[in-house]
Amino acid sequence: MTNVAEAEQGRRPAHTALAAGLAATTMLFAAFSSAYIVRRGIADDWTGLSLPVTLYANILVGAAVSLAVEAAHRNSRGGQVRAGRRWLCIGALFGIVFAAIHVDAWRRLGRDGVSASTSPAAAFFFVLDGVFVVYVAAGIAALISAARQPADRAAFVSYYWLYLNVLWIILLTLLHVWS
Amino acid sequence: MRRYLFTTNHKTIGLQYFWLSITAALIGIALSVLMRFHLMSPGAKVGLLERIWPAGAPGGVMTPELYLSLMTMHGTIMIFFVLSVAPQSAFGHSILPAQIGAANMAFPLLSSIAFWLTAVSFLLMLAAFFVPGGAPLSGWTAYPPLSALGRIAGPGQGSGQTLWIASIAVFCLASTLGAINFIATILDLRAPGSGMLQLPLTCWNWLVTAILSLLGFPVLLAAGILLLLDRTAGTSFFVPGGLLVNEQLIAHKGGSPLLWQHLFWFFGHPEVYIAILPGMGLVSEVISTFSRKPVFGRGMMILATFSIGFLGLLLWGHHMFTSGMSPYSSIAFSVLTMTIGVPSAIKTFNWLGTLWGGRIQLTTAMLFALGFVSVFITGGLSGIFLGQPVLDLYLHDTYFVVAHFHLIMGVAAVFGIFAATFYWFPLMFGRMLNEKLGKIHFVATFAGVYCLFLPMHFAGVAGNPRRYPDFTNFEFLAPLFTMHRFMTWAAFFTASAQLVFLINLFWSLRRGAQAPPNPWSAETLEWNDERR
Repeated sequence: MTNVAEAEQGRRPAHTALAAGLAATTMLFAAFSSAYIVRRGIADDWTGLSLPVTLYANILVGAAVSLAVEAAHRNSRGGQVRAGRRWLCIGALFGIVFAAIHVDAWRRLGRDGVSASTSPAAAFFFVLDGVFVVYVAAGIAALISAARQPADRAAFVSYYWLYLNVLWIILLTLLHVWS
Repeated sequence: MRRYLFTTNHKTIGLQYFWLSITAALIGIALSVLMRFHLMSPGAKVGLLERIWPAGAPGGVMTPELYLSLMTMHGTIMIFFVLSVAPQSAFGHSILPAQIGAANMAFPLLSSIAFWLTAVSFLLMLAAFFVPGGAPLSGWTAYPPLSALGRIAGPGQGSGQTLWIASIAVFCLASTLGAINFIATILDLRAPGSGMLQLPLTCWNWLVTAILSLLGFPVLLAAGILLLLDRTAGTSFFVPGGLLVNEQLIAHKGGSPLLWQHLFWFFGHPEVYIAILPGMGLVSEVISTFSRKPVFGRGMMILATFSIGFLGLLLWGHHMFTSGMSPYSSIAFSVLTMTIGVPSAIKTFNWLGTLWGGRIQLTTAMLFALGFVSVFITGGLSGIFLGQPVLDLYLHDTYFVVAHFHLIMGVAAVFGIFAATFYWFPLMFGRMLNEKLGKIHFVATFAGVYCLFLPMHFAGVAGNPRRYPDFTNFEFLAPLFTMHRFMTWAAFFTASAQLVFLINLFWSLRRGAQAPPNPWSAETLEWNDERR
């Protein structure tokens, strides 16, 4: 077997594991989302929640992370490992900004006296966003780790961040429409 | 010590899971014996109880609250740490790589992390016994509002319930990581030239079990997080308004206890298939080996396994027929419940077809496999009754349900564990278990469990409610007292019979006959593993 074929065979379990992990994550957020929809439907105590506008702008920051990681993947695949590493570091920086905007949103809401106990809408926002930020943190750690071996790991990180971006758009739509 | 703490060897990790589940099983059996003793003699004074639980057993008499907390912990420990650990994680880690021709699991470090998270989860669960108020009493199902209100709802509902939820949350994470590892291993680490269709049925069942774990445990994790927030952060996901508890008006409002039930049972029903499917796979292989015949209808068995997994995700509502949900959804869940009887029957008839015309060898593993088929049929049949909403209206929360799930989970799945232990002991420990002791253990356990659980059907039909610590206050239950005493003695007998297994296990570990390379002349790949 050639080195390329061996490398490919070695990557397959990682691909499968990533797909399985994202399936589990989808179920987690599906559970939260269905609870959100049900709770909204039965409640006579529902009051809307205005989300900080920075959370909407965060879609662009997330897209920037994905673009950086995709650039890293292409460079690494083309043999330009240093360039790939550089793009992964840029992606990690965008990822930190992405997470920071979420944390800042919590701070802004807290300053306005909004906490998880304020209303059901606020409770669901903090739950959904809080769990989402845990995944963002994992994504940032993955970017930093991938910078050590961009050739092998950039592809996985690019799939992961693509998933996170799609998930954020879905969550934001849910929170916006139902809030 | 370092070897065990940091090992990534799949066989060692399999053994770690095995011993964890044995420990959990012993604790679970002890709790059940205490429960059955209390049901037989509710007013009995037992000094030991007062020493262990001074608040729960003042004067040595078990309070109803202590009974309910023992019941909660018995169910939780058995379902999670025995039935969700031994069949999949213990035997899977030990045997799966060898069965598919792999050197190890796909992600050995993940195996280790998943085990240690499971161990932490187990310690958190046991810690609930030792905190002020003791272990929770809301059942393994932890229905809110009881589980969501905190200390005010009763003893054990403070820190005990919080530890319970935390333990389950960690277990969910561990199981999800383990499932990812199993799926990647089975799909990607098979020996070159080994297609999926060549895999033994054990591997197919481990795969479907892993998929169910992957899809079910995250939902329970989500529910657990929401429940923890209701308890600690003043949210109201599950707690409705207007509750007066112990003369105190609860501040929560707007939540839905039914929401918890849907989330819980969406996990809870696949969970029972997580408990039974690996045993089904093992039983297929054991029956084939000791009938000296290939499995009858192997292709259909694989299809049936997937059907059970798929349908198992769709019929959680049959646990909620009496919850007040729409009768139209009840019809849908009922039809799906009956439908799952079809692949289950396919498996059962295929086991019988494998036996038919075979040269049957009644080894202990084979006896437990046959016992599995017996109790699977018995326990499964009562499920068909419970799957009818109009019958379940009466039978729900009676001993009929207790009989059903104990036969199918507490006995069938455990028989699968015993069969796997006797069958794979030579591979796991290099020695043979004593067959004579094994057969004594089987006969005593088989007789004991039928004596214990069959009468529960009659008790349930007679209207005996479950989760009641004391029946003596109810005149209509007086005719059942003799039967309950009989069941308690059967419980004592069955629990004692497990001592035979423990003696066999520990004696054979040291003094058992050295295992030949393939003592059963089996044809699956794990018996040809040159690494042994």
